[in-house]
Amino acid sequence: MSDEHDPIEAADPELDPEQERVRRLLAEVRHDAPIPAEVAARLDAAVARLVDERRESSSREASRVDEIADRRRRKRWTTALVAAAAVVVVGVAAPNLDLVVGGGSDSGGDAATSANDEPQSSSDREFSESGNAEENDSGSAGGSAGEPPSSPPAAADLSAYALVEESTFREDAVAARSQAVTESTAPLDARVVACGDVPAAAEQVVLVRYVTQSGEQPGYLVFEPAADAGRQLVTLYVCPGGVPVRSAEVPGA
Amino acid sequence: MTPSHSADTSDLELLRAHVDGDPEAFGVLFGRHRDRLWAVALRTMGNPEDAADGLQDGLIAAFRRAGSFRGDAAVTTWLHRVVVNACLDRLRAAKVRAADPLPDDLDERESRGSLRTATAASLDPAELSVADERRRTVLAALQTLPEEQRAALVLVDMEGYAMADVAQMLDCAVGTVKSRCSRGRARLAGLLTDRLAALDADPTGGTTSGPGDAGLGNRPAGRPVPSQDPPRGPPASP
Repeated sequence: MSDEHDPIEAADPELDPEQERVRRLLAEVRHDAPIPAEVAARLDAAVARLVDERRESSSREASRVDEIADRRRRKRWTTALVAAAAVVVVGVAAPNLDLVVGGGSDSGGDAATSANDEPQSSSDREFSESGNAEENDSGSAGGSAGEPPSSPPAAADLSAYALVEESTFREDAVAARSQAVTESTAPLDARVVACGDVPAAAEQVVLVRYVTQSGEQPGYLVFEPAADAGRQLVTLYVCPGGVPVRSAEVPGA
Repeated sequence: MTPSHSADTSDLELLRAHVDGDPEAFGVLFGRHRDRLWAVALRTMGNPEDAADGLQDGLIAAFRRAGSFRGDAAVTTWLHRVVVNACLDRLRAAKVRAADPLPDDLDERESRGSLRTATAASLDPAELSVADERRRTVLAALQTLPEEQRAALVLVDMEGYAMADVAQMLDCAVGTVKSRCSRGRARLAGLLTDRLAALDADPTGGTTSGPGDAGLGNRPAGRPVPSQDPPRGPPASP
């Protein structure tokens, strides 16, 4: 940082006396006291929370990489097994086909149809198994913990939820909390899970509609347990992705 | 301070350690500057509650965006920039129209500002009362300025940062900072002259010593003002 000027000791020659006096007045009302203990504690808690989130995110990312690798391995085995099964089916069916085709012309049409159906249905089954494998694969991905789908909840679904306005965040958060029926022990609303992650320290999670000058956005409020002073921290996360955008201290419930 | 982060560890080293995954580095870094950042947030926001919210927003933003720090400025300048921007975002969001004329509810506004500033212990109660009243008046007037002017004055005139640093903090040209400061001071001068003159004329506290010397109402123009309380200036980076 470059050298600072000293507003009192080194008067700026460019300033007229009136501006110089205002400058001195301002210098005299600067805030010298250290940060209040409760604010310092709040910031320390915020840093600890961020560090925890980052640690969880890192471990989740690592397990996700493992899971993807595992899934790829499973997929390779599934493909190999299906391919082997197809070879077996063709191996068994082909000699029969030859026999049927060679058996007589009168039944050839039906047999041919039958024989043609066989590989067809076999082929269908093969694709179906493959498809199921894919389906199961993606299904397990969607349902696995810590890997929420990224699609935000539909706006229509949120019409019943409380409004939180940017300009009256603290008041609206308190109102949303009092209106919410979510209990700390209740399972998380699927819409929240679909939107983003919830910190482990959350005491209560409330789905809301966040209103800013640029429009309305689905999101959720995360209330942390009240501190000693009976106040609790509330953070607003918006969808998609569960991005934290606002936080404030509010009186405990 | 942890054993792995001694006082000799520079701000930049701490920031890089944080980006590399060190779980303690950011706390140590922010702890070094938080008193100063608190002062800036408090004077920019005007009350402790909003200042705490703004400072926390800035902390979260700095934690998450540390990887985007390019090293063009000092780390402390960058931290100030993030915190000031967080405060300004909050002010804008709350649609604070600080440029309105000095409001009728000035007394109520005054009570919202923190008054914990250095005051000469030798002043008698009457002098302290006048000094407090003057301080309230100045802070309340400051809150009526547009937020960009206020932020510039807080950083330049209160905290003593160099114009070039403030320009980086506010992401604007040095000339813009000068212009904002000049316009802000001119507006404050207009707002404060009558009120401080009235305060100085108060027979119960009509002293001209101590902080009263800084008033606009009863002092000849151009007279030097002795300082009992010089600004800190930016902290020296380890």
